[in-house]
Amino acid sequence: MSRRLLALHLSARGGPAFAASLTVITLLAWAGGSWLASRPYFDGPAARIPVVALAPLLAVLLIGPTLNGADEDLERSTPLPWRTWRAGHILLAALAIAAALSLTGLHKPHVFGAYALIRNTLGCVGLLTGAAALLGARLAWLPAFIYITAVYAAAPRHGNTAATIWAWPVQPSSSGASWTVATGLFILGTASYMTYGSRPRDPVR
Amino acid sequence: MTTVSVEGLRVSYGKRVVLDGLDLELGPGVHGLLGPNGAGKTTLTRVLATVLRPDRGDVRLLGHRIDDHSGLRQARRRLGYLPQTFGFYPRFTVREFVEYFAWLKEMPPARIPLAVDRAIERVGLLDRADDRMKQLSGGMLRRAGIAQAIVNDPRLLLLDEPTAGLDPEQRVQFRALLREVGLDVVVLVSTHLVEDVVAACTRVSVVDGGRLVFTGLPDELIGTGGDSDSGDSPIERGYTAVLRGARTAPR
Repeated sequence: MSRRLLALHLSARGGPAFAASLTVITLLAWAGGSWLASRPYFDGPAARIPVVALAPLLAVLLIGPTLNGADEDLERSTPLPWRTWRAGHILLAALAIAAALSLTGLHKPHVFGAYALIRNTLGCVGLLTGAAALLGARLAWLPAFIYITAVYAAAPRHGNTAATIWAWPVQPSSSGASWTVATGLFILGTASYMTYGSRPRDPVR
Repeated sequence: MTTVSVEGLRVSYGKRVVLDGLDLELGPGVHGLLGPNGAGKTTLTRVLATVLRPDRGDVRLLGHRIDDHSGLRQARRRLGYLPQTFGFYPRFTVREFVEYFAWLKEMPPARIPLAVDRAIERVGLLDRADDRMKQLSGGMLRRAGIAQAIVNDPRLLLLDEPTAGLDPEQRVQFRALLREVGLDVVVLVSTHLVEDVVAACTRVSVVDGGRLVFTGLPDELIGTGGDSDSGDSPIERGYTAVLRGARTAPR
């Protein structure tokens, strides 16, 4: 793989804008998490739940516009091994987000810290990439956004087994079931996007 | 020498059948593809561009079956494609846009800079090569699209409505480019403009209702028309006569 091709590809897919926006979200997550955890009227690390649920969601939504090129037909008519490129694209983006956000939660990584941020990044990436394969890159943000905000608003923090599964984004990182769901979503979504790519905007044309 | 072979092609979108039992053989030369809106021209072009998988049928491009992964990749290396409308990267310069597609087409790296300049020169955009795509007019964008399609010296060039947005002088230049490229390459030009077919194509095919209803020389298409057929030129009369005949014939 050529460095020049990589540079052109990153530029074509909005890599610089992704990096800049991820930096802003990371800084906001760090500031927000620290402020919430230091408030005497909140319950210690549990105060960081809003950051743990919403920062990975916002960061992962940044991947959405990078999931397809300006013209999918033109790109798909070329011989580049697109499945490998798509897989690399998602793994790199997920790694960048997980690394950046986990820095904000390293002070107390357990419960609602770095580990939960990594888990939620995996789950959100899975939801986004799966939706991109089904709905296209333009609408890929929608299912993840609706699901995570609904769970954040409604879910019990400490519930029964069923709740730890469907409310995985707001569970403590010690919950094994939440990791299983998030990892499963990541594998399923990444595999779908890798295989099918982003659904074309206008498949009937 | 046949380099594109299509047999029994069927493509549908849901319950709507767009192409049904279409057979087509193309050799080197410029082939015009005519047909009314919704006839299946763009769908056929997309199948040949390997971006749309047919429901049924055998498609061979440049000797490779497109349902074979390795053959598909080899065919794509020698393929040039310009869709009817194409998305572009607004922040790319013309040179970067063409270069990006040269890389995507897996051209040997050492050949890319010269091939990019040559493609841009052939479409008359060398003086705008370092302008950003978002600064170009519609006609210039179209020419940049043609440049990316020819940058890899394709053996099969598929152009969907390539002259849309070009002014008369640019169309004349484009037809000259087509004639030059079509000497030893298969060029398929899907168009509504019958005068482009007369001026630049060595053969012409007409599709209607998802079927191939005529294939032959432009003069043969002209010969099918009579004075009673509608149209302002001999080829328009031939075209309308072929469509009328296809629609009245039992299927």
